[in-house]
Amino acid sequence: MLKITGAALVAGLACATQAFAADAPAEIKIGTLYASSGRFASISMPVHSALKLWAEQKNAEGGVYVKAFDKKIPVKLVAYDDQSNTATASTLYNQLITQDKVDLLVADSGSVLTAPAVAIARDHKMFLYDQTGTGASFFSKDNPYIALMADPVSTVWPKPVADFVSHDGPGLGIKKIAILYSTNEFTGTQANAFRKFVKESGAPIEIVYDQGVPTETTNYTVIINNIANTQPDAVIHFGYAPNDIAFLRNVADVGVNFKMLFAIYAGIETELLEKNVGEKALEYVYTYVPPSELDYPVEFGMSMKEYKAAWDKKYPDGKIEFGFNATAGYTTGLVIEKTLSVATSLDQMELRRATFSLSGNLKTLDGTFALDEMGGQIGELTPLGQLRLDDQGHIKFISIYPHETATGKPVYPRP
Amino acid sequence: MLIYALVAGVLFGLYFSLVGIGLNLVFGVMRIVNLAHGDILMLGAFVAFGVVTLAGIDPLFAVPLAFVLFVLVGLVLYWVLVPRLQGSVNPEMLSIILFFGLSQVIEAVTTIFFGTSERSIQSRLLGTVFPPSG
Repeated sequence: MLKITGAALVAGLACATQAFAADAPAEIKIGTLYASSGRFASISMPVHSALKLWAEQKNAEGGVYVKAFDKKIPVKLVAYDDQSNTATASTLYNQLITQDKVDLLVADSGSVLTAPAVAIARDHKMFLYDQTGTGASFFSKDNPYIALMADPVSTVWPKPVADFVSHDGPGLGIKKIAILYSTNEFTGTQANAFRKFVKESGAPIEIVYDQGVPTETTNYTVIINNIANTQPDAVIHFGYAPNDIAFLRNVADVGVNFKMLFAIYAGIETELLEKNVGEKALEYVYTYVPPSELDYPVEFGMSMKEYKAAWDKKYPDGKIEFGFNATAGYTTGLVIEKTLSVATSLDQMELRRATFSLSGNLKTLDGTFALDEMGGQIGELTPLGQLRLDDQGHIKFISIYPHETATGKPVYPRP
Repeated sequence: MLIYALVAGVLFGLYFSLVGIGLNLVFGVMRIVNLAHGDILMLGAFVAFGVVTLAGIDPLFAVPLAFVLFVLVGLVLYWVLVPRLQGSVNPEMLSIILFFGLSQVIEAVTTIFFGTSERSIQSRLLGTVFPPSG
């Protein structure tokens, strides 16, 4: 009797194992979009190239470990080009879900091209891996289908620069500030948050110029003239990379010397701005300090040094700049990898649970991955820094604020 | 600074007028909707970029070079495409499809050679009329 029971158990176990293995897919399909042309190409291609680098690296190792099937499975990136067009992006996000039936959905880079994905993913009950779309409206308590991977929500980003202006500004002589922003979800949210932080601080700061301009703006000369007429002590510009390029070039061309000038992408995509604006025009510009300048302790994935070496090996021609977005794409890959290693199935809500379980515990080259209850990223820092030139004329970062992470004092006013 | 803004405004105005006139001329005379117009314009900018970065000479030299180059390109496109288009039933519609395809080809080839990010030449390479106002 014992022999029969034992044989039955062994046979049952063998059948179960076979069924388990048979259920495992040949590949994990990760659907995503990228913009190879248009306004957002310069922030989209680094993110996508980084995700590709991660996928190729994992596949060379036999795939990623998927706990749901207790084995390594190769990943396949199903990627389409949205050409920076939101209408095209909407169609392609739908195609990824309904036609390609991808297992995981990853948004394109930036809030503008992420926006269509948020609504579509929610409608299809698909968990969205939001790479760098930080718009505040994406994250709400009634939408469980999103998590931000690699940079803080836009309402958190400008806190250090607002705190610097409010706390240290009056002592330096900053009393009047000008805010210029591009009217889109990313930079519009940052401008609103910055304005709110400054007003709530109660600091004796007057906002003498506060203007939104279309994201497509390419000539800022008249705007710069208007700003200069208000004689601000600090100019805060929130724009995408092409906006920052045009704005900083125009500032240099016009020859105006604002005492303090802040621009997001001077620090986020420094290589790109160096090529287009020049080192001299970036000197003394205030910006966010990117992860590459902050030595985070890495517990999962490559260190920044190893990653930069891998990037240079894979993309040696330098046509795609290595910057904040390149780090963001790789971080997305790491979060997906870790999620698959703890998720017990590929069900979208289980993927969400697994992703949220990493919050506070995953430390990568991009800092600590931590989510709030709505999926917004709150673990990663955006300290305020200032760009300086070293003896060879190369750009270097000086971290200014908060004081705990500061590596130097601000140069104010700009010489 | 105000003078700079005025000069920049006039230059931008002239630039967009030229682009608009070119597009209008092609459509008005030949009944062809050239959706690759902007891409040809971009190639012209890359000629200036190439002249500065590869040859290290003044971008003004790009003007005659681009002129000769794109006259040749225009003639080839004209001889190969235009008689066929104008002989068709609906040249406007067919030209939209054809030049959309050409635009995609130009964008893809440019991406392969130059990458996807912005490329610029120094603003003051041509010099400046007005000294910086400080």
